Amino acid sequence: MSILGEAIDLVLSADAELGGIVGLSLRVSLTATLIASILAIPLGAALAVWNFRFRQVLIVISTSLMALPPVVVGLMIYLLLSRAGPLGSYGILFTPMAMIIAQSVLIFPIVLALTREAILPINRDYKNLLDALNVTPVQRLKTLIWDARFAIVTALLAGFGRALAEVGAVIIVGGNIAGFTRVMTTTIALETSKGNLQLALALGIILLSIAFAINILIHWISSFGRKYQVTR
Amino acid sequence: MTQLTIENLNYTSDDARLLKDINISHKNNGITAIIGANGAGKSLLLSILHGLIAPTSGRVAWDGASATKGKNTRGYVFQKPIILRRSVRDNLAYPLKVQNHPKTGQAEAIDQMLELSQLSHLADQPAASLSGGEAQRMTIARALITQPKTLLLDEPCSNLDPASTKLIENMIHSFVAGDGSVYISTHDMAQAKRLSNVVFFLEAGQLLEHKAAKDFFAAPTTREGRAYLNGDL
Repeated sequence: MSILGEAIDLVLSADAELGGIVGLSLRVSLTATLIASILAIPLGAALAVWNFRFRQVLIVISTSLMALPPVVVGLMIYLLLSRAGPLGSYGILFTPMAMIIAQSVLIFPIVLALTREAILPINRDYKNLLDALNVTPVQRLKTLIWDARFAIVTALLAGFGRALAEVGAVIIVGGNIAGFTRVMTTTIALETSKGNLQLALALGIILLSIAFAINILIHWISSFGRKYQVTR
Repeated sequence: MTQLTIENLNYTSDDARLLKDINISHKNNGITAIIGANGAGKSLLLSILHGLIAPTSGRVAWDGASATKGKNTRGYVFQKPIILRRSVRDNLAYPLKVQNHPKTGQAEAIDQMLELSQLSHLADQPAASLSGGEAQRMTIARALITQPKTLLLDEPCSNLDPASTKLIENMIHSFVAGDGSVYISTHDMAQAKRLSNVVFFLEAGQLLEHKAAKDFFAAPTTREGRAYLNGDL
């Protein structure tokens, strides 16, 4: 049987080891996306709406950080969490928690910048109305975030996709420990180097399917959101 | 009935005096038309009346309180409809929500406004799909839903066809019949004549005439007023 055939068999056989790896990948990346979004969505909205000191500096920094190389993030988190580092006493290096932190840092600037970009035009459209209705600053942010929800969900999916696909950060801070911190991407890297191409390819198929599903979802959500956009 | 007081109002932008020494003491119990040529300062005056723009000097008060206060007692409608990216029904619900109106009775109030604006059949459509006339009716309904005492309308019927204009005028009349007062800026003389009982005539930032509409249209006292009615301004 070809390698591809064996890989497909592995995917279809609901192999326990494979299931564990996929499950951990999803758990780490979903949690990281959740943590990043809780911080990045309100801050992205605030950057779009309010003028404050260092706003431009923050915008430039956050946009530059979108291209942050995962290995550099991994290295930074490693230095923070290693025994000699400032957070070393917590003992979370080489745990899923460390991987979640690294991926949160990686996704944060993406969600921040995309949220800001989604809210800018809506704020421009709404500003006079919200002023006339005398809404509070918190109501203003809530309104803009809600009405940008389709674009923001798209941003979250983009962040999730990036987290799920990256390998550099999680391999450094997670250590690729079998059954504990081994996720899809780190397994693919390891198994390929070992010549175990069936498992690597099986995980590759699953990763590609998830990426494909995310893109379909982004496309669907965007087309739904367009119905509410004023085109005049 | 609300008392509008404007004292020594001036507005300057980039060295241009866009509003000059406006003084008004006016108790409105109907429809006041703010008329004048393009650039006369009509929209700017309306914005200042609602506290959206701060005057360079002078004071605007509604029943003695500064225009920046009590925005919830007034409704404001912009020339270009501002549409929330929600359904028509949710657009109407929005002011009730942000102004913390009690939840009970909201659905009835929305249904009533949908009926008044003749948009009941479009209630659950995205508001972005409305035509220009429908969108403006929705924004007026949204301004009326909180039951304000005063409605400020900035050229609400510009670019609308006569049928849409008539529907909007009907909404204005029904608000006034319920004891509301209206300030409407317009450069449509026929509309000002049809609707208003009082006129503020502005020219180049100055209030040149403030009088009963029938008197203004019968015999304007200023040269500019006569020129404007003759179509020369």
